[in-house]
Amino acid sequence: MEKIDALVDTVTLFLKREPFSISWLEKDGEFLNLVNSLTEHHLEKCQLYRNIVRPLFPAVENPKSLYDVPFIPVRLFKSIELKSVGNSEVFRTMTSSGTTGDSVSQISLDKETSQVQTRALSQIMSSVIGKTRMPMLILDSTAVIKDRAMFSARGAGIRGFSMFGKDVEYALDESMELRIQEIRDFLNRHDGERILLFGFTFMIWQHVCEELRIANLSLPIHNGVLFHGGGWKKLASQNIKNDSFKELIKSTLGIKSVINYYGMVEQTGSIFIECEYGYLHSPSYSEVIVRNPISLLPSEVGQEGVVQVISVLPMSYPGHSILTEDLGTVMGRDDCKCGRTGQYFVISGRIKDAEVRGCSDTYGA
Amino acid sequence: MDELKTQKFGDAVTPMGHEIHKNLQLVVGDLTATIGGNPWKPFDNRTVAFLSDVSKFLLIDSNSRKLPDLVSFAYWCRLSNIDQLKKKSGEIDALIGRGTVFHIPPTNVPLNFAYSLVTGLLAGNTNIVRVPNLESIEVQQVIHALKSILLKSEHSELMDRVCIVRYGHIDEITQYFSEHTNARVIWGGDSAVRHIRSVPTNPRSIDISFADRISIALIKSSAVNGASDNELIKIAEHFYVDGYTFNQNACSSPRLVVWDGTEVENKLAASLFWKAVSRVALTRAEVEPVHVMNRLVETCENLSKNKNIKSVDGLFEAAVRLELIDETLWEETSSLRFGTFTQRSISKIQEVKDILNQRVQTISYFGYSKLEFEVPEIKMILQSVDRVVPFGQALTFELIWDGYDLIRCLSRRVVIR
Repeated sequence: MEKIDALVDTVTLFLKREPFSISWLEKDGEFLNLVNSLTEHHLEKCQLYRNIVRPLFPAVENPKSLYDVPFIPVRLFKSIELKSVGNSEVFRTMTSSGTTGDSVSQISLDKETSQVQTRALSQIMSSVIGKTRMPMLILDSTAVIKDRAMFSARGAGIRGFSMFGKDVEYALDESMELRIQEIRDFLNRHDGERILLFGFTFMIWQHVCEELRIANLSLPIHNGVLFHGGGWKKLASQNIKNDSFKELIKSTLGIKSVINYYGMVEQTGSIFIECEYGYLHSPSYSEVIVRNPISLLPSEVGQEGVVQVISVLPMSYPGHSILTEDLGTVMGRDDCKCGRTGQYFVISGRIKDAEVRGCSDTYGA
Repeated sequence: MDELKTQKFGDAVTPMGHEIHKNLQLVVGDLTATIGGNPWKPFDNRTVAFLSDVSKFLLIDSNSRKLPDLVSFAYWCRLSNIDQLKKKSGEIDALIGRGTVFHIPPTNVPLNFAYSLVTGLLAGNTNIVRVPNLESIEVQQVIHALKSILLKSEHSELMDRVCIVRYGHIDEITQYFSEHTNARVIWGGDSAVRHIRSVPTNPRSIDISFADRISIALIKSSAVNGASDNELIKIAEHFYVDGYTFNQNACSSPRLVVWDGTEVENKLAASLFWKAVSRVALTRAEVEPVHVMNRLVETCENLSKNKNIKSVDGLFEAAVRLELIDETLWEETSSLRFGTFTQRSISKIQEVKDILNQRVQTISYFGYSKLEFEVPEIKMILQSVDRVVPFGQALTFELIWDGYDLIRCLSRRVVIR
């Protein structure tokens, strides 16, 4: 028990650091040490993780470089229940939204992990929007958070980001229709104030932008700051990229400050935030490593590959180092024009699904 | 219960029920004509000429030429290869096709349906093929070629011999075809075979079913150790064809690699071999990121539930090797796909006996001469499997498959004394 308390203390203390204050080279210092402690912790507490990682990474003890930190594939959280705490300590189980696949990730959170997630997110957010709470408009439906039993990624995202706003209003009703009158009332109430907006990229596009466009309406939220995330997979088929999305937001909602973030339910809290130059930045509490999608060896700066995400937050489940199925490219280190230190990168999509072939499933057709 | 009735040639075909009609998609051909079609002799000249033109059509088409599976199929249908196959088939004069064959291919080896169809044709039958997957480009290309060649006047007689259909899991349709055909060719796996065989056939019909099988690679270590760098790459390329095609998901894909030699020889050979395999696999365009991810996920899943895995090598080499604590339990490490192998060492070839069992279908080998397998003692041991073939040929379709001589199984021998 003492050991875990020590780990919680170390993580909590680490989160006092400024969110964009650790350079790429310095990540192999205290950050790596903390990640190694997490690996050790999960090896001790999660038997399934131990069964997997020990044979897969024989030289698992105390890697000297972030590149050598063991990782597990993100899809594993869908097929195996991986947790490093007893059932009684599980405070809530988060699930991925599951809009595209049939199975969903199951992430077991205890109180401590949940708390550090909140703290990390608030550190990152306040460095971008300041500490003052702004009136907030959620570009999603009230239905998502009404069902308290469902801690889906969507609900969790909304709940997590809501903490940074006040007078929180929802832009969509339970059947995903725009609540135009409520939105107008909200804007009138806060005339002249800065407005914080949050939503999921695809939902915003489909249920807000498209609806406004069809109704030939636009909203004058010129003082707004919009945070959005959740992936581009569905928008890619509509040929909508970050730039055109920003344009669309500007023309339909009047918002000039549009900030994309990269995060996932498996690593809630330590999100990657887009800077003014359009690059995602690693905060002090997490890091990405891009790997060649065939050899899985680390890629050079500028080379596209699959993205591994490392975070110091996951303590109740072994998700501190996971290989995602997202494709991305590290664009540089410590020299972004925005002035933030650390790695900066872009996410370009998902690895392509391919048909699994074989000769043993006539009836599966 | 319906009256049992054997379909005779020329009989009017029982009309299909409305339900069946509604759910059945006719892709190529005419159902009634196919069911009523006459049997021919195996390797009938008309059949061979038709296949030859299908082959030419595919080889001329630039879209087809980019797809290796399709090119292999086209080469397989060429006149020269069919001639070879005919020669290998021995005495066939007294044989005549059984009538109509109903083929039920697997979902995920796209061109399996085509090989099955051609086998049925060569044996002298008319054929109904349930094609499982119309989305595959390879499948579309073959269907396009078949349709185009069937339209030519010189092949009009083949029109009634090729019928390709598509339908969901509707047992009524399977039963209708089963009752109106003379043989079923049922490709696995086990549960599919069991299910389809539970659907009644007409009493004279026969079933040829292909159950789930596993396959191994057998390597003489001294031959690998004596190979030059170039030879090593050649060996690896052949092994790549066997082990990686169809995502290592076919019954003939090797999953266990057996090293034959002294402990020192085996160790050296394995290190040289896997380095070469990795070099080949890392550069092949067919290896896609999703395969690498699937391999990693399935390896992790195996590790989470199988306590018999001691260590994993080759995570970063496109060839994952699971070292087992108890090598005799290799079969329990199931579902090795996308370039995942287990290994085992033996000190002389006789010891391969301990590895073989009825589930093993194919041994693909390197470093041996065929003569070594003809020594009576060895021959006895190898008789438990169906195929022993050199590296690179594990997945090459042959008219003798899983121990069935398909030409003879799909034809009748007429006795005239």
